[in-house]
Amino acid sequence: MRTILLFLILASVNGLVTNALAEDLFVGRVLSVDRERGKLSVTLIEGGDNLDNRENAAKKINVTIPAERLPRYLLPGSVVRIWGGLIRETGAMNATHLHALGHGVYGKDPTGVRRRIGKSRGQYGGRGGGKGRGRN
Amino acid sequence: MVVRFLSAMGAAAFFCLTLMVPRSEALDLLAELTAGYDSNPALSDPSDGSGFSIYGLGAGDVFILSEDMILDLSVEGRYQDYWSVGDNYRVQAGTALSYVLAEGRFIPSLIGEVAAYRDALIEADERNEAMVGISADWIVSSRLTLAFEQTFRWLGYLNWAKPFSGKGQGRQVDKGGKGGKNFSSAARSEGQWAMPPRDQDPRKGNSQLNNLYPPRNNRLMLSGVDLDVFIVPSLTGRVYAAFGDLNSSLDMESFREIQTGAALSWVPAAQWRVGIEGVWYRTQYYSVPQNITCVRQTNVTWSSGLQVSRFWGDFELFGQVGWKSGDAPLDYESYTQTVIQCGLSYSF
Repeated sequence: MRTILLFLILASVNGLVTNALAEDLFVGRVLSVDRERGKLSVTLIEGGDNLDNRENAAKKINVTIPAERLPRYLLPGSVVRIWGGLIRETGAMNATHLHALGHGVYGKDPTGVRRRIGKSRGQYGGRGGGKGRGRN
Repeated sequence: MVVRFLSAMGAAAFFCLTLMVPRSEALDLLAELTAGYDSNPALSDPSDGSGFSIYGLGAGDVFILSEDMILDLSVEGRYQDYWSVGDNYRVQAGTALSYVLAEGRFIPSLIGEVAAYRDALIEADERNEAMVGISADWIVSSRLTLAFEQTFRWLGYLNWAKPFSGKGQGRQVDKGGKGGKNFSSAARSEGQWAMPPRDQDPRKGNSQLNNLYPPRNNRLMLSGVDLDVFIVPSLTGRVYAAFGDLNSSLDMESFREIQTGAALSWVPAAQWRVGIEGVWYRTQYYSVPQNITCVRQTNVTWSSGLQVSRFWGDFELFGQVGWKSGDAPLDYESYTQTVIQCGLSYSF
């Protein structure tokens, strides 16, 4: 029984690591969003170390992501983190995960656990203020 | 007074949300319905559990004031209907004015919030709140974001109450820890009038704890730091720490508190999300008079929660279990609480 459990844990960790190695993490500012088609134009501000000099100078990439994975609040100017694989020749990226800075699930509560328990600090209102909402 | 307060807050929120400035695509609305069981709504020992329903509504919008300046507004209401004890609700409105610096690597914000909390179970906790503060998000690297926050919160309580009558402070609900809105001035004059502890006869000692005191007027300074870690595509972590200093109009209730916690958010498959969070905090009541011997000055509390969510478009179905165990200062009490709940959330 213990062996099976260990095997399942190792298989899960292996899956996580394998997927992670296939993707890079980028940070950028959104220039435009086509929510229906799941397409974004982004200026990179961090990451993208594997871009060549020409692309680094331009820093602009086109991101495609399943539309249902787009955070609800995503605007031109938003700062985002993008997990994905970059096609160097075209400056296009297929993204798997996208996180918007400061507009996650109630800002300071990424998991929603604190908000729903609602009693993390009973004597006063807790931290954060007006940091937006929406699914991240 | 309550109606006036809520009306003013609603009017202010409506005015703000309809300002004629460029907006995001649409107003973001949230409706949420939850049912569950709370083993200890009053955070006391012994405890009386109760089933509950929660009805939540929220609205938020983002206004782009300029290329680098963003105004974020939100209003939110949450009503918790306990089936066998008193209900509570909280209404709040918040705002954040953010300015993007260093191409997006550094984002300072001015933040603010007003709120009203009402509680039919622990009337001593009923209050209005106002908060202002600053915060900043700094993208240290592609994997790390460091966030700072400094806030000043005013808490104006509504009811007369004995010391340490708030939730989780050790006073039993049925022992009359509340003064209530209807507590009359005549009653106050009948020997229960509360003088500041330092003006009382020190030989009275613990009897000070049985006096009713005027509604508190408290000020809380809170400093916090968060570190977000983007570990792998499906796994994000957060560790945080905070220091709070509450200056209460009733000296003996003033405290300093340190808080630390960690959270993980895991997306095991498309449309699924698992969240887990643990928090520890240590509260020290530093102004308890020496002649009061039945108040524990240093108190430690733990809480943790696990949540599983499944999404269908704009709907989220979630289940959650939460656990909390803490020291209550009065009479060296302690308590535990378990909350199990599930619900449906709709964003539109």
